[in-house]
Amino acid sequence: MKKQSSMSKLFEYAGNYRYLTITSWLLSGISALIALVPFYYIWRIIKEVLEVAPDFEEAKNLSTYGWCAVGFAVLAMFIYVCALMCSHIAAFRVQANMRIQMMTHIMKLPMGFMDKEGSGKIRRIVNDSSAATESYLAHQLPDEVGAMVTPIGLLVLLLVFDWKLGLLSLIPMVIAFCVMGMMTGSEMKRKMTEYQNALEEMSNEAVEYVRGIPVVKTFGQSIFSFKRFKDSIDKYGKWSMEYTKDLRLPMVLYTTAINSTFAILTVAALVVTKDGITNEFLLNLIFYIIITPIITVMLNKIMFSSKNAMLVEDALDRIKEIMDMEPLKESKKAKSPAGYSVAVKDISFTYKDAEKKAMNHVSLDIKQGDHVAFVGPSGGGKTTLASLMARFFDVDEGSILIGGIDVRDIAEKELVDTVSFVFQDSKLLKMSIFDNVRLGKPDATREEVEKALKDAQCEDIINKFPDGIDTIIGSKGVYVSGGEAQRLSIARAMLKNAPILVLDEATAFADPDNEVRVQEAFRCLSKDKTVIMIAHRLSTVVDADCIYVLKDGKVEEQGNHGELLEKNGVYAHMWNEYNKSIDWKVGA
Amino acid sequence: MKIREKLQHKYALSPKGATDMLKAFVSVTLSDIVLMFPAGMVFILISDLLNDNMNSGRIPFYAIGCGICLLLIAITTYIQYNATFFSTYEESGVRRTTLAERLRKMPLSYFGKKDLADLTGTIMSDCATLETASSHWYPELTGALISTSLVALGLFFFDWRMALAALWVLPIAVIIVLSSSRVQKMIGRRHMELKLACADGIQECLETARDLRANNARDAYMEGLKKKIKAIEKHSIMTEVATAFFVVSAQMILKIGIATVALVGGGLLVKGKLDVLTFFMFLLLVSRLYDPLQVALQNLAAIISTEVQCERMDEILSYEVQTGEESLWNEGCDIVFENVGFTYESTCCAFGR
Repeated sequence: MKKQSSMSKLFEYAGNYRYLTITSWLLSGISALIALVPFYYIWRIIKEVLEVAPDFEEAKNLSTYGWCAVGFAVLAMFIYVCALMCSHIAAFRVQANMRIQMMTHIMKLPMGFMDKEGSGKIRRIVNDSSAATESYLAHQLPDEVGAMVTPIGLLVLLLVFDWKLGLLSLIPMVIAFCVMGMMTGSEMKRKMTEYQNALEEMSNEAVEYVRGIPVVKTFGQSIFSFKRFKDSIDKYGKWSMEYTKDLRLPMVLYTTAINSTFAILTVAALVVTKDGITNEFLLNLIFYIIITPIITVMLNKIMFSSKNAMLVEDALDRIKEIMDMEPLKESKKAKSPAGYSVAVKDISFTYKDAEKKAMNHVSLDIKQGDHVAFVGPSGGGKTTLASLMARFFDVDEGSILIGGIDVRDIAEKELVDTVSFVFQDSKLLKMSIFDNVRLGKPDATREEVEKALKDAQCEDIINKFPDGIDTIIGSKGVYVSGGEAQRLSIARAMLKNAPILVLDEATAFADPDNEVRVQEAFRCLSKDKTVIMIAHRLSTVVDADCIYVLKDGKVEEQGNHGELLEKNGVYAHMWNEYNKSIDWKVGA
Repeated sequence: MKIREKLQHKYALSPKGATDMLKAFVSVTLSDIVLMFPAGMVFILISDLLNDNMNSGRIPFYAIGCGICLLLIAITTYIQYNATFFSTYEESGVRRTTLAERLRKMPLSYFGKKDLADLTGTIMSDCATLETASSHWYPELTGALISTSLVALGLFFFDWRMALAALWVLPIAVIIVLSSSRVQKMIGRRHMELKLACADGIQECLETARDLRANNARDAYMEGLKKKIKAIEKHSIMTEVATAFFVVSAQMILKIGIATVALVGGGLLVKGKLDVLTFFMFLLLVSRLYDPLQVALQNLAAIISTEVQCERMDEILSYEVQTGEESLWNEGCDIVFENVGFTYESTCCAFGR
């Protein structure tokens, strides 16, 4: 039953290629039947020899039979190859479709889901779980059909030859299937899942480990990061050991069973020939001796099939886990915002699986053209609030209105065109600087890009590389620091020129020169726009029209710099601390 | 001892791993040989029946014979299972740890050069492939080769003309598969590139999802990624066709052996130079011998394709690591640059003197 359902799931991904899969089964079955014929001809050779003995000159058909055997063997193999071709083409299609559908789905999920799951884990599911279905579809299923058809062919032959011997020769097969049933019990299924989990954990740790090496090299925290990776390796090793230990006895039984036909035939021969032998029985016996090894071959082929079936089930479960995650809803009756004000109306928001509310009944009003700043301790909700405005997540309660329209009712493309977000850790893609900058406006000309780069104070970066704006980011010898990456992403935002701007200021810059340039670029970008600045340094907020102090998911205070200082509350305290720290720096 | 050292270098093994691999070879060969015993039993059975030699006195012989054969099969399978699976998993744990340790000592520039996906891919999937290779493909192939050679040798003593008729196809089939190694390696390397490009694309897409969304670039990026995914699909089919071409033609040649045995045997029988029983024995043999060999040929093809992985692994293992003093002995914390020169790899001078 379970298998049926995974098959139908696989077929969904196969689309029309499912017919190729079915064709492969048919061909494989036909091939398995034809593969029996050569054995028949070998038997005919023996029969002829025995019948004419001792006048062997009478045996005229030996070579004909020999070539017939070869002919049918080759034919069977040819059909089998066709079967495998069909099954492979379909399997590769399933794999590609799975990856595409999963990635398309993932891209529609709320942001932040990646931070929680770890991109290494998700990559493994997208890349490897889809690959796990390949050998199942491409080899396993056609071979299983062959293994099922072979005994049917043998049953037909029973009618022609000795039915008692025929039935006896099927005993090993029955035992083998029983043993296989033993290996697929619920206990084994659980073990398999645990094994896969250990594998996944190891993959995650490996990504973390490799990603961390440059940091580790800089700060020398080697033992800790290495230990976690080592632990996951050991854990995986432990599971695979346990798993193989559990399978040892069944495997020994299985192998012994599928190789035991000879013993059964020997016993049968002894029993029947107790009262003398007939030539007919001798010939029949020889026939079965010749043909039964094919059972062994078939069962050998599907020896690991139960394991593969479980692997596929597990892979499909993991894929389903991703596909079941709910994407952000696309509004059916999309409206356009009238104007570029931002209104936050009594919103609450909790991160998935978090206990505390990240936003707790927050309301605020930002007029078109206003420059506002969010300040407050880290974890206070500054970035969360800004992210909600760009609809990286949806609020649990309340609503956010842009130009009077709920962000959930604005078509995604229009929302993105309206709100630009400059992240504090902007990521650049592995393409040329030119293409990176015009990501938000694919039809931008070279001149436009150059102007944006100039306005974003990126000239020093461009001049650093011999290839200028055609330099491929991430290629050999090309390094861009965090501050430089942020300036490049400001250039992106310049080009996109959206009326509402969210700027997430980087927490710390390594060099003051970079900081000055970033500030300058921000200023240039902010002209004539509604600006929301997530500030980590108070020096940049002094001129803001309104400052919101966010703490524990609430707006603690609001007002401009002067008003807040007068209030002598949280902001005033922060301001004093800030000035003290500057004094220290100067003093040092 | 020499063989052990050779194995150790060729397959990136620890000394214990090399010993274990040798054990695996021996155990697989043993169980392959044991699997031939039943054929011997059956042969004796037929000869008894043909010569009308069957009487109740033979029953104990057959009962004990069958029992011993089954027992031996069970025992050798058990030993083989232990020698292949267990030792392999142990070894690949050691291999992963060694690789990780090695990575830590690489200069930073290596990480700028190598993609994250590539590096982790090397650690994880290459280890998994080598795991299968050393637990299944190598021992099975070696076992099949050794046991077949032994049987072949025995057959030549029995009747060299028939042995020739049955076995001439063998070297040809092996040569076909071996000669495919260059083509396979080429295709394999290209396949690896495509796979990496795809894995890398997926990783990049996941990591930059936020930026892509913020720039309405999601669909455009997905188009590119789709192309990478489709490229793998196309190339996979090509790889499959190429491998199938070589392996299948080799397997088909194996089958011709059936005909030559019938032809030569028939001819010799007519001339009275061959007895019926020997003829039967060879017929039985050709109907059995080729199937395990087919599996062995597939293994050989698979092994050839792992060479790409071995090369990648070797690249990491042979990359120049940063060395230096293990312990610190500086006095004070002054930092002095003395005539320093430095270049990022394959860029022009980034640092003068």
